[in-house]
Amino acid sequence: MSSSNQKIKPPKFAKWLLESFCSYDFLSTALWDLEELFLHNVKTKGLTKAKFLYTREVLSIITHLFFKGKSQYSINKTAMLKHSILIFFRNFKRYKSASLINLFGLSVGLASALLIYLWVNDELSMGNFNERDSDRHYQILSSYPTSEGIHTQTHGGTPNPLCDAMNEEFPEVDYAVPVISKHFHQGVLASGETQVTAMPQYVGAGYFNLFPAKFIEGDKTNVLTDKNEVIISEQMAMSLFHSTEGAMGKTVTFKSDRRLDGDYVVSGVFEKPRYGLTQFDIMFSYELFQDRRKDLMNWINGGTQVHLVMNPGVDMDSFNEKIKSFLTTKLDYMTETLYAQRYSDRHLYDKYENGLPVEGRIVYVRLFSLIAIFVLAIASINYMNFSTAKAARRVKEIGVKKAIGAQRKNLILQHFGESMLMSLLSLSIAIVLVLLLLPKFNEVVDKERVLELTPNVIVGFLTITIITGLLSGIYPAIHLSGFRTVVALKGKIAGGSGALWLRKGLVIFQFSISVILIVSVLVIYKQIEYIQTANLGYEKDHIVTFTKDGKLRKDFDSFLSEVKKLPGVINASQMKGILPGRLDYSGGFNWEGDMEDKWKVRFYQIRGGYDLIELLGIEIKEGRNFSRDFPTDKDAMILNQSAIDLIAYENPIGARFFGNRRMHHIIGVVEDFHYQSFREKVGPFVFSLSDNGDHFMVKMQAGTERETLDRIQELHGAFNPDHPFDFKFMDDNYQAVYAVEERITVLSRYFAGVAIAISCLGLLALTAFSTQRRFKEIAIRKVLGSSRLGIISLLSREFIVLVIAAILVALPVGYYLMQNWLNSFAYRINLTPMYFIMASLLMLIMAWLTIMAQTAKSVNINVTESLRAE
Amino acid sequence: MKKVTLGAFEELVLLTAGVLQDNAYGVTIKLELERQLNKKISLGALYSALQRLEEKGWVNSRIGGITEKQGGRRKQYYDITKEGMMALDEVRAMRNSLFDRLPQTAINLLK
Repeated sequence: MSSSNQKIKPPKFAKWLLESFCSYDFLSTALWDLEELFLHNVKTKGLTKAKFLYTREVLSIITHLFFKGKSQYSINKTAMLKHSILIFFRNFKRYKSASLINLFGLSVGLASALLIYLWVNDELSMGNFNERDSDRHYQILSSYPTSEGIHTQTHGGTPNPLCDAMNEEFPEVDYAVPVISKHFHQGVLASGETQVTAMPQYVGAGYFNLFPAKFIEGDKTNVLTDKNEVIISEQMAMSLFHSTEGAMGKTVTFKSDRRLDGDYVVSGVFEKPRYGLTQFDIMFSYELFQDRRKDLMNWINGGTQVHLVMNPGVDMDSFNEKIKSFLTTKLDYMTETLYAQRYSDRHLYDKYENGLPVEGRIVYVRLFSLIAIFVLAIASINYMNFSTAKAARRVKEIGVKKAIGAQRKNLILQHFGESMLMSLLSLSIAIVLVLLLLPKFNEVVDKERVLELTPNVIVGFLTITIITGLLSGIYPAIHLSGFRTVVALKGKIAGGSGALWLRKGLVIFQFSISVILIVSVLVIYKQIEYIQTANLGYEKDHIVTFTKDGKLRKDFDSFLSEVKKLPGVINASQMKGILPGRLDYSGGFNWEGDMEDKWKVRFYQIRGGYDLIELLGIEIKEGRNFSRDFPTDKDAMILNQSAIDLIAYENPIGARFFGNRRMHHIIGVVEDFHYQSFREKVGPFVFSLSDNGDHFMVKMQAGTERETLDRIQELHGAFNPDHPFDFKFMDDNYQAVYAVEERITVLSRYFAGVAIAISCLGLLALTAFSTQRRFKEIAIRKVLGSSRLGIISLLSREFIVLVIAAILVALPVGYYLMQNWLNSFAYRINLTPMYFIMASLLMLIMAWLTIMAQTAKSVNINVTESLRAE
Repeated sequence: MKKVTLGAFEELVLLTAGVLQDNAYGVTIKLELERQLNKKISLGALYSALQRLEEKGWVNSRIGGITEKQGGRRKQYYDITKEGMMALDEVRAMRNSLFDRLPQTAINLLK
């Protein structure tokens, strides 16, 4: 009974709202009516509707009675609120230019912070799939020792039988899901005449409890139960069957690795996830793979990702301890260690040390959050400085308010209210800015963010705005409300030296951050430029690569000799892997000499065709290139200088060298070249001949790429009609390795620009204000014969000193930060004083121009006019 | 001095208050008006009309219905005053005289 009574009560918020607006007498009248109406509505329209109507009535009463005219029903608070808002807009109008500058600065600052918030929010939610078992989802990563420390395989490949073993031998594991991702062979899917390149993925049962998949056709709880089933992406269905419904139940032919070829029945069509960690077009069941590739199902061969769903409440630390050396129980010479990482962490913590995740992208998330905070702080400081500076003009207002009984609390509230109103105004401008800038921003960060008003985003935006309002209001509120009434009424307060110092300190802080940002931008830009233009030791321009599949796997020799005959082609060859970045590496090499743990040393290697070294323009230092004239070259190897340094042969040419389970002899030495990103040091490297490359490489004459590509495509079609011709420029592969750095450069440039602009805006407002206050002084000086230059230097000196102080503070900090960042590159530029001098000069010039814009104007004031008033 | 006028909505409120006699307070006036006009009327609009009428002296407000149950809340009744009646009458007379002067042909259109 009492609970039902509890329920039929009008909404508390609306009641509170009315109470805070109404005088007591009227309140009880209104409440009577409202409650009677409410009870009536509950009976006729239901509780929810009644509550809604109640709130609406309250709002109408408030707007009608208190905002649309004068009212004896309202209370002081309402009147004060109206008054405060009025004062705010009057002040805004009185210092129009400075206020507008402030508002604009705050809006730009807010807009940058909001953009960064959207990005950070997105990064944090990546890999967080919210599927049924996603909260218990872990992935096993394997690491093995190499000469340069422990290397973790980030693609997640583990020995193929591991998944079943996890299921059977560990009670902590609820179930394990095997996945074979894109690192396996790409293939072609065909229906009748049409065929499309397809990236397959082989997934075990339970996959859809962990990974998102939107099924357009088919039922996700009941697919891939049969080995003959395939599910395909929407795009795939459209290009093969021109509709998604039409695809269901159709038979398609898959051609890839011989043993997996065959006919499959389409049992589902899915929508490609917007961004997943892996991309794929079709999915088969893992059982199919297990069945057809029995040869790979042993502990030596790997490639299967193991996704674990743990039982609730399992202690992951002790579980990780348990599985760490699990592989040695299977094969005692295995050096790999295992670690289970929470799947949702994999995106942000993607850097590993000693086989454990340390950090990774999270660094950039933190970095940009920090930038957002700083940009907001700079914008808030502008507001703070401006409102304390104009305090002198409001002293009387505060004095009068205090004299007629305003408490300090009320004044603090009033000033907080003003800063809050300011930041709310900025928010509306900032949202417009965000909407305008979002497409450009998406382009830079390579995402497809749209401004969706999810609760998350709304709460985030409001929090940021409120924090900005509080931050910028806190000092003015406390400072202004603290004036003593009598002194204030006499109008004698000059701001006090404390306020002045604080203001100076804040300006120094603003400009320090701007200088640090300029230094960072310069250094990052130079380092990236260095990477782009540095001598890699090989040529990457005008080279296309495309996969070697289908018939061409066998027939490649005649294809290559035909390609070489095409006009516009300089050279052609084939190799295994992608340069730079995705190359094979292995240990187990041996040579004469007594070095410990030789077999552990990791050598990167390229196995490929005869002309590869020549095609890549790698310089041969000693010996000779592979040649068809020497049949024994099939067993020859060419090493790089680092490798020679490591094995310490005095006469390497002709020496014996053991690798890839065979004895080789060395026929040449090449100069070191950057086969990895610049973050890595160049290590030992070997070239050997092989027919089993998976990519063709063709070097073309500069300027003829288009026609030459057409010719190659034609030839490819003639040789390999079953496979489409998909090519990539090697230069693009290279750019992809540095995509993150590229993005950071562009973003930091934009945000540094924003920070500098806002700081200068603040300076502009401050000089505008201070020169305006000194009009009389300037006039008197002019009358007494001061020169223009003298006045300008008088007015700007104070601010230039601040900027110089800021530069002095910023330089050591900037040096420290940049040295840290550069240390993550094995090959880097020197941090010369040039960068710091340039940054300082740039800042000084910007600040000086800003100040000049104001002071130059004030020199020309009319002396008589400004003195007349006295 | 500016002549005190009776607005259209005020007239309706005043009339309703008169019709409801002793039982005219916020809710009853609102419900009655809604029934007559066949549209929603917000309490806010009603209060501000009543407030204006009271300022002009056409209604008197009277407190009533204070009960323990309502926690000190009270009903505010509105009674139409003699001046209010006169204002209504005046408006009606003015309207009637205008109506009487309508040409017969226009009145025929109504039929």
